[in-house]
Amino acid sequence: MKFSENTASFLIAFLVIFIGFQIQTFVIYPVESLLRPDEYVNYASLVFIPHGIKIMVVMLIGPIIWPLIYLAQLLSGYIYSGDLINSLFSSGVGTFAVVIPAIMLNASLKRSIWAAPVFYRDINISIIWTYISLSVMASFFNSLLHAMYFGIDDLILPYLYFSGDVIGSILVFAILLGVVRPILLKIK
Amino acid sequence: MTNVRFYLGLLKMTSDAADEAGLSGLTNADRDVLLLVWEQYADGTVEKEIQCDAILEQAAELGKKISKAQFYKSMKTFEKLDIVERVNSPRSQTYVFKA
Repeated sequence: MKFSENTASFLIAFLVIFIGFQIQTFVIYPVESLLRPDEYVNYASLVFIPHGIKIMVVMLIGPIIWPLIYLAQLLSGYIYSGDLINSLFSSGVGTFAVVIPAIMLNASLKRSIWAAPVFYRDINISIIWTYISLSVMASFFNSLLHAMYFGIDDLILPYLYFSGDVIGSILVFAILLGVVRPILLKIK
Repeated sequence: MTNVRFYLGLLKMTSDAADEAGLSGLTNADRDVLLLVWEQYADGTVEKEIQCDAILEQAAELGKKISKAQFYKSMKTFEKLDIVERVNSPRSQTYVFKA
């Protein structure tokens, strides 16, 4: 899959990820701040939807989309925090975490490492289980690497990162089936 | 064509997932065909040869317009959703009603 032949799809993917981060920042974080009494609310979201969106995009376009995932996350992180160094690292981890499981899946199925799982031609995979597997693996990488980087002593935080990523992924998948699919079927 | 890849992928992803989750709904035409097919089994027969022409005639009697293409498309959907199962050969018109 070449970038030049799929410019629109790559740009849509970038926009979808970027918008996902904006929804997280301007809708979900404030709502969580209002509803959650715990002290971790400022550090870890329990519904982190960009994670699910990134998994969806990797399944649709393939791991080759990684530069745009990185860019979308970097831009969103920098706009939100104004901290370039942390944004550079956090985006790297966020991208690595979702891309590596997809590359591992492709390699284990003897596909091109950049292949998009949704478009495997000669093998019938379960979309739901592939999405869940990639999401859980990516959540592990993401939470552990973030915990290592920040030198977190508090053992609860990595679990919160992990839970937030998984819950966010489930929510994104439910929205895909319940909202996006009926719209797609109408415009087909 | 390649530029609609995101749309097509999303459509395929959500449709496959809905099928796996048993959420893919039947269209109105599918429901009409299903009703007529179901009536074929009213006599208690387990395996039945479902003739397209007979179903279309029956539909016409009821004032419903169903095309041959729609009939085969619906039967494929029922097989996919595990409502009916084709027995004997893959080209056989004999089905077992499972639902």
